[in-house]
Amino acid sequence: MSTLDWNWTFAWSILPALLTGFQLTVFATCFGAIIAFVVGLALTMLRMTRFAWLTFSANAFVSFVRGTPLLVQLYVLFYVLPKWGMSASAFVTGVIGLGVYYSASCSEIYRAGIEGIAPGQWEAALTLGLPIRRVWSGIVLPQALRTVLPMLGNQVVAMFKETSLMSTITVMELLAQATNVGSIQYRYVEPLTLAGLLYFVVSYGSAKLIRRLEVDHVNG
Amino acid sequence: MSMAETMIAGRAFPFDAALEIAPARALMSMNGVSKRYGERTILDAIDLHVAPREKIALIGPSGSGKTTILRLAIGLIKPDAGTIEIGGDYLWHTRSAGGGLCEVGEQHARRVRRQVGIVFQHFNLFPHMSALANVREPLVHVLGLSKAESDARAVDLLTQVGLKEHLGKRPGQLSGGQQQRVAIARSLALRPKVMLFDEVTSALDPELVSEVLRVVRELAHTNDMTMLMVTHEIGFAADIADRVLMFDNGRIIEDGAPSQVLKEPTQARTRQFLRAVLER
Repeated sequence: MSTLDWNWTFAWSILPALLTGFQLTVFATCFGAIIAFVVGLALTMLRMTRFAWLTFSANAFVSFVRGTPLLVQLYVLFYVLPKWGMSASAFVTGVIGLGVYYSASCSEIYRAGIEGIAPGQWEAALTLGLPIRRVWSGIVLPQALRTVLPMLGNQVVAMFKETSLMSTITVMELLAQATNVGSIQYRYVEPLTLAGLLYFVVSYGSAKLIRRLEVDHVNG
Repeated sequence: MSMAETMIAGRAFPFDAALEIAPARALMSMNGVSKRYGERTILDAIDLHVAPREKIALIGPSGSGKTTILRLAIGLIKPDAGTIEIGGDYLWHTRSAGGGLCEVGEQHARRVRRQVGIVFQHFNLFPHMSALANVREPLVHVLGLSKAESDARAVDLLTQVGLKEHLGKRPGQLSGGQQQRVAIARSLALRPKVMLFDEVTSALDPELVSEVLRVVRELAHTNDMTMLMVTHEIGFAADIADRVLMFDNGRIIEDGAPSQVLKEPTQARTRQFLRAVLER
């Protein structure tokens, strides 16, 4: 019997293991997204301050993170940092790696959203004498976030797929579970196909949903 | 200064009155104010003294510096030279112990410009907030009033501009004229001593102009407010202004009562401009 044959019984039997991995993938995406959104916003603020050295450092950080592969960053976090006395579980390391990597692109997105705010909005807020904190929290960010929400959503979808890289640092997420159950009987067709299907259904569905939200937004 | 005195200051002796009598009692003064952008001089050593309750119309071709005067008066931009005084305080300076002037920063300017309100050509309402929330915004976050009190005041203000029925609507659901009236209510919320109107009807469809002018006219007649209006509505300016300033190339080339500047201008440039505007 060739290993390319599809075996329904086997496929059914590995589903629980895959779903455990899938659960971890979803968790990693959620936590990673939270980190990316928060750190990204902080980076954006730093990049827009009037302190040149803060702006410079934040810009350098963003360029560096965007200019190196996520896989390399994960390896560094996982293999190198423990040697300097910093270590965390593989899952936490992976989530931090993903979150920080995506914070760089989220920061670009936020910045585009903030720069897209009409100058008249700033002028109205300033001439009314609103405190600067309120200008950001009440006027600029609510409008900027609304326009960039679909783009942030697309980042989450991309991140969801990239969580598969966490398998390389021993996190038993969906892909790791698939290769693991495949290696037991040396049957990879069913686990990899099912894992691929799970990735596809979720990311395609989310992308569709985001596009619909975007259209609704444009249509008011 | 009584209304009658203001009118005398503005009308009978236009130039001398503005330069010699007004400064001591002026609510707003600009002395030698210049503004340049790169090589281009937008305003060239302007002296302007505005008496309390005075209504001044600023006219002139586009690019002549009218709008820049308003932006300077509310501290959105800083002059390259000269001083601006509002209600006895310098906008960008303080008097040092020795009596000289020294420059101060944004913080100080924020406090001084609170006495000034502005209505913009393009309304600049906050699009994600209802009309009520737009007016409430400065009441809550600048005056620190409670939400209930802010709401009550905001409803009053919106009623004043005839928008009682539209409190909950977002700017996008309102006509241009209605949006501009919300913007006027929002500027009035902080009870400024000086109101600036920057071509407030220029972005409106013609049929919506009169509802906004009506609100501004009412304000001019019923309030002690001091007003500076940049406008191309010559009839409106003639009607409510005590004084008209004609700008050209960054200078005030004519300053006097509407009856004089608009009806019997002394400058050829003013005549030419008025002819062009009236023939539109």
